[in-house]
Amino acid sequence: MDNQRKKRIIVESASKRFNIGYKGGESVLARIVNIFSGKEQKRELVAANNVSIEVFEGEVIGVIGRNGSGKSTLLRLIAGIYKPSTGLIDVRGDIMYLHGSNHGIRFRLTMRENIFLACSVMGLKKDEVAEEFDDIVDFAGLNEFVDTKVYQFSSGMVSRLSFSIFVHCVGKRLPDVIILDEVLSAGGDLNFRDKVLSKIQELLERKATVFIASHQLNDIEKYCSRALWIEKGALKEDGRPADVINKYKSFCKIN
Amino acid sequence: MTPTKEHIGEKISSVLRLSFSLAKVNFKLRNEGSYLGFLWYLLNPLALFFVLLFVKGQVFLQIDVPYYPIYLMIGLLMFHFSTSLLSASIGVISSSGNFIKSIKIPSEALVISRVLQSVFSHFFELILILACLLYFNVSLYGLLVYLVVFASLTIFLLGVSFVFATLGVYVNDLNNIWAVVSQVLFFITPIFHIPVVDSLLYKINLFNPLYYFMSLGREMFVYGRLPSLALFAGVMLISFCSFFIGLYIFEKKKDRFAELV
Repeated sequence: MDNQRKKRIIVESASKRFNIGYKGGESVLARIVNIFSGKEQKRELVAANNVSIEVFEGEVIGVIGRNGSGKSTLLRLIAGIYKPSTGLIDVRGDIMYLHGSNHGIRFRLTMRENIFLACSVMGLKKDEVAEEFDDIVDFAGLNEFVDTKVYQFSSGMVSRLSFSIFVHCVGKRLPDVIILDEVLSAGGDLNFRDKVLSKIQELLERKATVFIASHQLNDIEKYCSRALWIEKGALKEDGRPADVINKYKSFCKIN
Repeated sequence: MTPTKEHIGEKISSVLRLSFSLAKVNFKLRNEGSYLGFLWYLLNPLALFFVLLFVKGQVFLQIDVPYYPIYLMIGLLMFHFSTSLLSASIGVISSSGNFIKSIKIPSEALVISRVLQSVFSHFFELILILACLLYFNVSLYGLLVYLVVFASLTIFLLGVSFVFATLGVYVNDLNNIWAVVSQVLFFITPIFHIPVVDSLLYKINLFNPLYYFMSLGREMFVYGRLPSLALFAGVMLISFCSFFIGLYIFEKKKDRFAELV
């Protein structure tokens, strides 16, 4: 890595442990019974195991790994949604984190209401939303349905809407770090996918640091400048996307 | 980055903005598809109001207060506002796990928006107070005093809501416990009765914050006099203490919410 660029994120031997024997939803009575019967076994799950990475501005990082390997945990640690059990995470700048495809869309509201709500969840002011409103609708290609309630949309339409909202909020807020956790795998037809990808390239031209967690290895190879492979919470490989993906693929075949 | 004053100010205002839009949406969603809309908010207090008035006329219950119906109505509304808000805030965090995990949002906004949502519906309930005042031809100035007391009550409840929302993440039984406690509170708090001074009930109520809010809120309507400033200052103090203590507890625990819900 060259030393000219600014460091954005420093993760220093960060670990995250979850107590998965502990059932959060248990009643006091059930818990007392468990104590006496000795049935409850607490088990620790290490979802992030001693991970250390340094990330510079302008890097586009693909995060790959099998289901349950700890991709989301690592990204949530970076986003500050989880606090590390041990270790240190230092992020210099503003972060936007997004997981899944229909974050915060309320199906009983109209598309107009949803746009205003979702944008304010992502930190936009009302007048800023008003400015972006037409663009959001245009980008999603849903001009005829502005006052239709979202439960009547098809699932492709919903993911187009939510992605369009997200992209425009990013454009308005210009965060230093953008984390897309399984966002790209969302539906949408080929035309929309092209639109999304060109929009993402636009984002990449700024100096923002971007994380993309996805199972679409082709996209990672195409857009990312670096790839991280997470296995059982630990960082297994860190390097050029093509190399990391190849190793990951052969690993998956063996197992 | 060291947080500057403007930084904190900007943060607070963005939390408040978000709370307000969430409250507006939830309020709208609650009324969506219902034909009588906000009239439903009035039904619960109104039914209790008439039942209690009826029962009072039928049994030997000596209550010496001018404008008893106004006394009763204010008590009912303040009580209903408080207990229903608190029982809703228990689940505010624990039921929005998906939301908290899939996007970075200030979790304070979830609590504040729930409080705001209750405040909105209380504004509709004010119609009932207004109707009582007009019916008994009582001066409307009391409403101003009432609104100030109500604002203070809201700040008080905001603090308690922060605590309840936090506890709700850890203790699943809180809802059941609170259902019983609020039932008990209904009979202890002077809503439809007036405890005799120095009776045990009166002494118990000295530890009941709701008692103070209610007496302040009723003073102007029922007795036509301004409440004592000392009592008022005391209540304000309680409210702000509750708010800051509640917020402190919430802030201490909020980092772990995402992994517990």
